[in-house]
Amino acid sequence: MDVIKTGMKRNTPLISDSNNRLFKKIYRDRFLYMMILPGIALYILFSYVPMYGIILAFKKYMINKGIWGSPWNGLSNFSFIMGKADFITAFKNTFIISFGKLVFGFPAPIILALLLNELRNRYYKRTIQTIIYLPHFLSWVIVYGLFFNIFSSSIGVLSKFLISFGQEPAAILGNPKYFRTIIYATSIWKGMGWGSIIYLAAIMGIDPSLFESAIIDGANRFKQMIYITLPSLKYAVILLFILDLGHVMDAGFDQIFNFYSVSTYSVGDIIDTYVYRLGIVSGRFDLSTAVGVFKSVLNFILLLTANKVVKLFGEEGLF
Amino acid sequence: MAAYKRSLGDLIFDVFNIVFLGIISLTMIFPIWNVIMTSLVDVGEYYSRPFILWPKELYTMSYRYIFIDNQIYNSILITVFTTVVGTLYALVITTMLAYGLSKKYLIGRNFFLILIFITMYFSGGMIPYYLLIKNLHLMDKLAVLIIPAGVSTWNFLVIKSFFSQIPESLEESAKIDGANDFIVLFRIIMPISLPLLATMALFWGVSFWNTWFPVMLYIRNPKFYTLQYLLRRMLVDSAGNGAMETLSRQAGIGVKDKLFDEGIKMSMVVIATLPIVIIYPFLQKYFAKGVMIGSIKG
Repeated sequence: MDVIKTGMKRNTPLISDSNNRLFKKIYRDRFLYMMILPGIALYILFSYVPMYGIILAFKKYMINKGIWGSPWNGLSNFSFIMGKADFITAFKNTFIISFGKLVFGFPAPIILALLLNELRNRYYKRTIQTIIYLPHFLSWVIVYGLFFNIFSSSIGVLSKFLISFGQEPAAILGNPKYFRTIIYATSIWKGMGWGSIIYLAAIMGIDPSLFESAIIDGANRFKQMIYITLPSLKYAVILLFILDLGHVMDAGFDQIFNFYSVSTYSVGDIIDTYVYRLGIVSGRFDLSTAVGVFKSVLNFILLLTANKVVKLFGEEGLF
Repeated sequence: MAAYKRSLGDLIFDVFNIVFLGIISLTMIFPIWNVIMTSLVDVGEYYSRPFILWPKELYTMSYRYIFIDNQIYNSILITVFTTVVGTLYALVITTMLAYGLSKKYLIGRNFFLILIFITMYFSGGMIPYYLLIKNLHLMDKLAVLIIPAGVSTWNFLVIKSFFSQIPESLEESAKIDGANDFIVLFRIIMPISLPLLATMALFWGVSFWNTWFPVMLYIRNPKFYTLQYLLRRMLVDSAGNGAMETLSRQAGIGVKDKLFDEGIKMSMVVIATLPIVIIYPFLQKYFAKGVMIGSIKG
């Protein structure tokens, strides 16, 4: 389709050959460019343009002057929030909850996939799968509603049970002692079914002859699981683990925001919820943006570190 | 699979496995069933029975109370509208994006892919985004729930990866016959990608249906409250127990009607969840396959 100009009509062509080829290619694909235009425009508008707002982290925001006119104050926003107890609490909680979710929550879908794989009855397996995927589709508002009905100290099912046995109703939902446990438990409850899909897909992709030769060698199911199934999941596990680490500073805003309350800020407030209250509710745009920037930078460093560590172990990283 | 002697250990494990997975499934069902039951009993029966398997007396007042006010009709309308329109909108935009960027010969492709990839890990943050919405004058407008949600990176990657697996011969023969890229995409590629696209549509649908946080941030007008946001206000913001019972007195409903806060709230939960729970079993077989396709290819 590309016609190479031989320059017969002129001594020197007005446009160089390679440029001409370039424009011809772009023209040839003009419809493709039209197709990607709306999507790219959305990314630029809603993902990149807001990045400009990051400069607020380095300014002292004055409403009447707007973002542009507000004066710079260097890193003083950062040094200010570093000293605030609320920030330190949120920072600490973010790490604790994120790592808690990793430790408790990451293995759950894997174990579930392994167990599901051992089921012999196809109908039972499919029924179980149908049921366990469902919580993933519920919003955290709904999930909170579900667990509120169970654990509320005033009207929850648990409390009704305890009362009927003559016990005191337990204060669970607003109780700092149980908050993180509830977060881990509900997070697993909601996500493990869905999370098991990827691992199940990987397991189904294992070459059956591997199992057959293992059986001939006398391996029982347990040994088969350890020496064949688990290693085949290695790539998926590493990939998903790094992906999770890449969001370790997120810690689940939607969930925390629905479950936490003033009484559980001390154990449950995470960076994102803190930013929400500081920025949207209290209107401290400059400070809260600084917190957000701090979080992003830290997140990125952690992601790079995790990637590097994985590569050191000889595995393929994310990049 | 080669047969081998099933030992006693195997049998024990199988039994344990069946029971264990059964219990896990029950923990998923129990909270949902519990809420449905709470919404269908009156205050007396609720407190007299710790655990309700089935109502002794079916009580629909909790639901009827919600439908007295016009707000619920508004929210249902808004939620259905944003879900349907939003899903179609996102599906078209993201599919076009995925198709265009699945072509390795497109000049600038890598640039655009990196552009998108970076956004997975970097963003301006909540506050700059909030300020952007303000500056775009999208505050308190229904469009704010739809327009920014036009692309989902995860869905984009799955669709793109699927498209790259489609043999080029299909497209080439169509182009020889004079088709341009749009015709190829909409008349040829999309029909054969239907299971995957249906799965993606389901994901988007659920995502739009569950929208509540943007409403909380950007919308003041109750006319635009989505169901989830309405639910959240009832669950979290309601001024303590008894508030709704007081309101119901004002609406002319007497004590004899045996309404109670929790019943009303749980009815709202059911209303907000019902479409998902109903449609879900029918679509489950589609998306399980769709996700597997996506995850293997992706």
